[in-house]
Amino acid sequence: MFTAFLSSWFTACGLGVNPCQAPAPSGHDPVIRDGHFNLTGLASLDVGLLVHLLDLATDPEEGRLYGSGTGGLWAFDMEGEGGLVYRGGFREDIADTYSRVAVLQDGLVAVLDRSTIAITAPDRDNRFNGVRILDVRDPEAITQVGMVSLSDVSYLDAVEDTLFVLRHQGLLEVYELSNPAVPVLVATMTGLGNPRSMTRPDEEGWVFVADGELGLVPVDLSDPFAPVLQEPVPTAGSPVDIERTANQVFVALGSDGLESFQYAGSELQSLGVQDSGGTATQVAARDGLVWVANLDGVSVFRQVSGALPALHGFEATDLFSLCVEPIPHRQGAAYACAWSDLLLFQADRQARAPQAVLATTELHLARGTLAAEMSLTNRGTGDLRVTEVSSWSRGVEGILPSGPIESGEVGAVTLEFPDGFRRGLEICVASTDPGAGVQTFTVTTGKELGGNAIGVAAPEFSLPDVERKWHSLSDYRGKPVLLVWFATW
Amino acid sequence: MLAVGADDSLADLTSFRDELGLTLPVLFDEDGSVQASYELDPANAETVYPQDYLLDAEGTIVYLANTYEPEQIRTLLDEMLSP
Repeated sequence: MFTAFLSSWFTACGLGVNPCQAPAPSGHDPVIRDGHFNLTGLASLDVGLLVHLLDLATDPEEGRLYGSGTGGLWAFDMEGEGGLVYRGGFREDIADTYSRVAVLQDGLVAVLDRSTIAITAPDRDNRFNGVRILDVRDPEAITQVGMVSLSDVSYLDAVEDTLFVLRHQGLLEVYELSNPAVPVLVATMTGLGNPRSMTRPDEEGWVFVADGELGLVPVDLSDPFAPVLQEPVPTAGSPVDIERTANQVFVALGSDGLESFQYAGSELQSLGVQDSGGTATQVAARDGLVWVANLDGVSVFRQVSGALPALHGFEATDLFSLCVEPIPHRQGAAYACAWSDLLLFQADRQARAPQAVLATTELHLARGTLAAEMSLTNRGTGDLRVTEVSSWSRGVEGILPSGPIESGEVGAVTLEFPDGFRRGLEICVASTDPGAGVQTFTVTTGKELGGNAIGVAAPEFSLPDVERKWHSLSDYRGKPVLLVWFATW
Repeated sequence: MLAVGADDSLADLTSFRDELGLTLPVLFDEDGSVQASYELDPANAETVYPQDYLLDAEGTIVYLANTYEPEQIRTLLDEMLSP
């Protein structure tokens, strides 16, 4: 009955009709809020309160989007301008906290099921763990045709009828699925640490594994029957997801942000690491845009040849954003899954050229701070004209330098915060001068100009230390005092 | 340098000090009243530790941060201590 309800619901108010005017489908807010730059959230679709979507995959040929997560597999037809029409699903108690879905050829998808549960509580109920191969040719009657029973799968991807499986114990396994009822293990590669994701093979057969322990691990898969592990390349944090384009590799590093690499063959060269807008859990790239699912929002970057991608937009979703999937045949658009919502994002096709977003920084504020100053050092050769300072928090305004900042000079931007604002925030700086170039200036953490405490006499106190000896602040008069409020946890 | 704990028991603070071998005074703000006077509301779940207050020789607050920024504090202290 639950399924029937959802099915009729999708038909009645699905995104397919007009995504821009799709009503908020459920009780909570329509999720999309104050857009910055050019990323606009267009619509959201609630797949049901009990569902937690964890991964998305598209099949461009069939025009279909698959979502996997708690509650099973969900199949949608992608229509028109990114609209979705629910077609059917598979709800064989796929109840994982970490699901993945990959599209195979011949109307098959592979779904990862229950892997995390298997690790933390090894299959107490003796239920299925591993990868299910589903026949989705008729989305209204999806059936399971095969399975690979494994207890510790962390990731799966597929190219045609070859399935790649990463296992937490440090293995890459390759399965051949020409007969999906009988998946055949054709290769096992050891030597990985904590593999979490991998790229698809490039033309020469190279893949890169995002390994939480080792960093990026190039693997020669030109012969899928005999993968060859190469020396790992260190990353600036622990990788959780990875994406490859023709010559760049992007790695989501959780709270450490997004690291970009240039590559040729197995040679990887880091271009640097940058703030992703939150805790980067997943990264995807298409049509020159790099999408990052952060825990509380989606960021989109423009790919820049030979340099870090430039921030193009960010949308907070107020929800747990776990994955983002660019939409085939629709430039600059992506679906994201966030808890039980499917969100549609559109990055403007016409960016505000020649404006370039040049850097982001994080500014930490003490309670009560109402203004702060941020320094920009122009490290380029041309003048730097700061045109925009934005924050992902509402109401933050910047007073920009009136003239250009010359090469080698330091300019100041004054930031004003709404009353009551007191958390750290991300600041993004844009310039109209593309000649200033990406990465040619640095933003240093700002100093606070005013608040309710700076410049005020510190309140006097007398407190015992843990030896019951009493200390008064006035005992320290005549010397600078660093007063640290801390917690042992 | 003074360290103040307001959200931990005395036993926790003592073992914390001993584990880290701290020689600076570790103060115990048992009822949070001093913390309240520094506007660190103990009832507020958003209270962030560590919260650093740098006071000059006259006891005026010259810097505060609720994030760990040792470099910034070191720079400011060096400035204040230089003749």
